[in-house]
Amino acid sequence: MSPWDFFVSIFVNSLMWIYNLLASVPGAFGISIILFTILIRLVTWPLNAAQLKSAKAMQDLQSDKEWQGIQKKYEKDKEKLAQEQMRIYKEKGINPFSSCLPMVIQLPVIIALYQSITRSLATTPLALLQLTRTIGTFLNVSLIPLNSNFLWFDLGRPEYINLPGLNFHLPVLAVIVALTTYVQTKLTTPPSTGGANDQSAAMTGVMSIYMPLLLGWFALTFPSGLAVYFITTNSLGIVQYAMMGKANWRNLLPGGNKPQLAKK
Amino acid sequence: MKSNRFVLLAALILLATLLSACGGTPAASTWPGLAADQNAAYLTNGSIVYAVRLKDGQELWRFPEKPSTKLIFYSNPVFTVDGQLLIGSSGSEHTLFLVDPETGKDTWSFSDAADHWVASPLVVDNMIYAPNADGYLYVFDLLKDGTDKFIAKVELGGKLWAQPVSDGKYVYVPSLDHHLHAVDMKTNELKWVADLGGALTGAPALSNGKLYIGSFGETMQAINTADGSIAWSTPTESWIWGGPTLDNGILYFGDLAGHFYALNAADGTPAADSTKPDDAIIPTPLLLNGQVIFVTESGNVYSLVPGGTPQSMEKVDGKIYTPAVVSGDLILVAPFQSETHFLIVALDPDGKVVWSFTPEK
Repeated sequence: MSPWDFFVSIFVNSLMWIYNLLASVPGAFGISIILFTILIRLVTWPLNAAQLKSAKAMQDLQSDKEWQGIQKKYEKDKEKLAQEQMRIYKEKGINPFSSCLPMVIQLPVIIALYQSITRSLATTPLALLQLTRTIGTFLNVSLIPLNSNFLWFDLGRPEYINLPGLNFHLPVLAVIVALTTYVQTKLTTPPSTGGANDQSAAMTGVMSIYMPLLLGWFALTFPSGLAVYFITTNSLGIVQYAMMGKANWRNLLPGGNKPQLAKK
Repeated sequence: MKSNRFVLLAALILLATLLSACGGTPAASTWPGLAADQNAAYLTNGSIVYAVRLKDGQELWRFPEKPSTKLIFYSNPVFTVDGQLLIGSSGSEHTLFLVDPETGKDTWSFSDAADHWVASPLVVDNMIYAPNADGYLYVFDLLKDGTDKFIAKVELGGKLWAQPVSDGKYVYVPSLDHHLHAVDMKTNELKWVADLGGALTGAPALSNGKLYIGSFGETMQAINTADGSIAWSTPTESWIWGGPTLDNGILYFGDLAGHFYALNAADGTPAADSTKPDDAIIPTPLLLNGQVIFVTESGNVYSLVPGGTPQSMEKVDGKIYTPAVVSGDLILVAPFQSETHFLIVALDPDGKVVWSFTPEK
């Protein structure tokens, strides 16, 4: 077993252990995914908080009058602008990498969580065989295969519902994934300063379009257990950002991201 | 600004690729399926079904002409009474095809199942009993035309990954949800359900009013076809994936820890001591000229003369999960993840390689 497979197997066994506790409850695997995602979110809460805090500091800098003045002054001297940027980072105690580092640390955790869900669902014979070799002896063998029914859908298949009068399938979870991703991205978007170099807001503007589409597409294509994970983690992200008092609710309103004057 | 957008877009595409590779079900995401008639071997492998001439291992045709990521094949094909191939897709399109083995063209298809076709269908005269992973047994009458071929779907529950068997009155269908079902072939109604305590991935053997089936519950069990009651239950060392092969009143099968068993079908007692050749034994053994042929995950092909010990015939490159098949004097095995890219290896009864098939790109 490779080190990565061993790492993922810890997640698989944890997820299965939660499922084992809830096995008699209807929709146990769906609840297990939600609980396990909450658990992972709690463990990585400090990392998320550090990342959000650092990102907010970087965003606040965009509306800083001194920084805007420096950007204007050294518009044509990129080298000097970079020097000034480092100086102002130092003065304000901003570490530009501190918003990336928590994300880098979390990425393997996110991918392992994602893989543990797909591996537990075991939708092919090879995946089921691998699952039999992954789960620990402390788990009851009668758990396999997992009961993948949750609410109105099967967690092992992409979800959709048929509405009377509509001649197409409505992918409810994919829509919710796209919406929650959009809301989360929008809430973390800083108010635009309207400056020519307001790259941060432009970047998040692009993110708020692509990310919901990307994750919505995942939810549409892959087993719906992943959609449950996306919705849970997005919702927790929104809650965490709101609890930190940094959510920018105005962005959810039409025109809420109009340029505003720099604060004096 | 444009470069930032480009970097962001590239990062998203990378993430999408990473996640797709990590968790999706790409082509050849599981082991292949194999069947053979007197002329050709038919291999289901990812998005392609290959027909390979038995005489020399040359490719005859591929199905479909233009492979699609929506159609993924890995169940073992089966033949209808008029020699057509029944092949199910496990891609995003859950289609069951009838394919002409002469031309490689499909002559009929059914796409209304909700999940993958993992199990091979059962053919009884002109009737087809096709279990689907959506938990339904689909019933077709091949004498009818087009869409009229579909007769009924019987709700059984769980994921149906194993081929059913029939005694002419009832169809017996195993499910991953631990249950074995008996379905009346006249009425398509459920007669009985038996909980066997573990997932059922292998087809049962059937003889003299008893079904013999192994499970993830680490037992081989005999079930009375009359009422689904358990006649006997014999514990094994590990989980059982494939079905048993019955020969002269003895059941032959292996388990995931690599043990190979010979049990008396009458009462489940050992007919011989179990052996442990070298690796996990996944598929059902087969019979050839009075010998039992079985394969192990490590790629070894063994022969066993009843009462003797397993003898290694050949070790092929790759892992073997697919049941070996016999046509004439050839033993065909389908290695998975072969470094030499062999998809089929044909052996003679002595275990010598006659030919191997690697598809041209």
